[in-house]
Order: sequence, then C-alpha cells, then structure tokens
Amino acid sequence: MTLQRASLRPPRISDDAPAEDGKRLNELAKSSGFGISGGPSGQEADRVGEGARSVLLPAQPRMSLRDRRPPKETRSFNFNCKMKPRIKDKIDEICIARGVSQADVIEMLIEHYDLKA
Amino acid sequence: MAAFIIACASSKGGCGKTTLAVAIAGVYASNGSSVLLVDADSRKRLQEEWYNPETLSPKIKVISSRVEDVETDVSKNRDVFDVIIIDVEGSANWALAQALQVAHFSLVPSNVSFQDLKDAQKVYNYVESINKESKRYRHCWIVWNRVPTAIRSKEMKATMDEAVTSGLPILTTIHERDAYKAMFSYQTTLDKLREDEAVPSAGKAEQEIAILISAMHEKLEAQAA
Repeated sequence: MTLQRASLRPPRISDDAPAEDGKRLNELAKSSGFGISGGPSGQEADRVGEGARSVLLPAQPRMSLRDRRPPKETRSFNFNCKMKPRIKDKIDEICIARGVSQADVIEMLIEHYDLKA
Repeated sequence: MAAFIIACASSKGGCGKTTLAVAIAGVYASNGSSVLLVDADSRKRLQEEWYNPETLSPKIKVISSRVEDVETDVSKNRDVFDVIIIDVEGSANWALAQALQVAHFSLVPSNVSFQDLKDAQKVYNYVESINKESKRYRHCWIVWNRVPTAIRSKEMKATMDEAVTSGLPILTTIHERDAYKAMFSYQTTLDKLREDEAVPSAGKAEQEIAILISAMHEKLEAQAA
C-alpha cells in the first residue's frame, strides 16, 4: 500500500482560532498537579474520575494474571513456518495497514477459509 | 494559515515520545513540509543526541525550550513552519501542560503495559478536562508503541482489550523495529535510512508512520465536519 503524497501534507489550520482564556486553563493545569519543577519524579493529580473510565481503580485489587487471561480461543498461538519473501512482505503490509499482529492475520485468513468452506 | 501543532506527550518516561516525534518529523519533511521540533525535555535529547544539520533535511529545525517557555516558543514559530512537533520529558511538568494546551493534536505513546496505559489515561483525561473549559477542541489519541510484529503475549492482548473497553481512543499501532532506534544512531530520518538501505525495516516503519499521519488528518477532518 502506498500513501498518496497529498495525504501527508499537514492540514490547513485557520489563524482565526477562538480566543482562549489562558488564565483559566493555567489554573486548571495547576489544579491538575502540573508544576514548573515537575522533574522526572513529578507528581500528577490522579484524575481518574473524569474522561475515560479508569483502567484500574485505586481501591480495586489487581487481577491475577490467570484472571486477566483472554478466553482460550483468543490466546496467542505459535505459528512457525518458512514463507516466500513476497508472502512475508504481504503479511507485513497487512499488519501495518490494519495495526494487527501476524497471528491476527492468520486468524482472519482462517475465518475467511471457514466462510468459504 | 498557521502551523499544525502536534504534542508527543506523556508524563511517563520511556514510552517513545522522542522517537515518535522524530519519525513523524521525518515523514512530514520528506513529503515537502517544513517542520520545527520543540525540544522541551531538560535533557535536550533531540538537540544533543539526534539533531545534525549535515545528515538531516534542511526542512527540519530543532529548538530547545525551557519548561516555562513552551507556549511562547510555539507562538513565535506558528507562522513560520508547516508543522510544529513538541517533545516533552516524561514528567507531569508545566511543559507538558502547555504542550497539551497549545497542540491541535496530542499523541500519547504507550507501551502495551498497565503502567503506561494508566499514565496515558491521565493525560487523556486532562485533555478532556481542557476541552470542557475551552472553545477549541483538542484531539488526544493513544498510540500503541513497540508492539512486537509477530506474536503478542496474552498479557498484551488483555491490556489492549482493556484499553478499548475503558473507552480510551487508540489511533494506531507502532511496531518494534530497529529502524526507529537507528534514527538516533545515524542521526537521520526514516526516509534516508530507507534510501540508504541502512536498516531493512526502515521502509515498513516509514509506512506505518505515514498511516499514523493520515489517521491524524482524518480525525481532524471528521471533527471539522
């Protein structure tokens, strides 16, 4: 897959963006724990109550690895064989385009095969 | 028209902000855009470890910015460059807050680990809280980084699934490739690594960064519509 050059040109951003209330946003940053001297160990307020649902609530005990295991049918599997370079390249191309692993591609192929059968 | 401003942002170190910033800058520059990289990391990794005018496209410039000057430095250059990419250090400092405020699009690289994901979630939640207070919408998307090209472990799959279940917006996946590391050892960009055939994975890396850039543009267009 080759992307068109035009699609890699940055979008045109209008100059007449709405005026921001910088002071209010700065207050928000301060109240969220951002500081001038953050440093690598800087503290950030735990704002888990807003936006996306928390991945792990603070009081929630961490699930064991066994509990976090995906169902058996979705687990990774080992697929080991020699491929022609052009097939390997094609699989890589699909992986990049779809953001999936090689294992996922093989799973898709099997689904396709099952549909055809 | 003003520059398209991207923040490579996270309050966690080691998740690939600088690498992502450099890779994106290279793809934009190789497609004809002028790019300013704002190095807001106090260690100045971009300026001191990567930037080399002799090996890089003249379309790429790097400036170092102090934590408190990020907004001013971006404002001064927004009419000069096509794209401005801000690279912050892995810390919840003022530079990160300013970068998230001024950017049109924030990219939060996250390794597929619970720790990284929690941190990415904090950044996303903060941008959402800015959006509630502001008249301008800011995009904030998570980018899975250093994902193995072949098999993913069950822990990885579980973490990726949980991110989706939690409603975190995932833009694309960047895979673990030598080409990303080679950008620093050769002080160059992916297009040059590909042309010189220096690293076999350079072409693939360049292609996935191009897909990431196109995905950003699509999200902006969709929001504008």
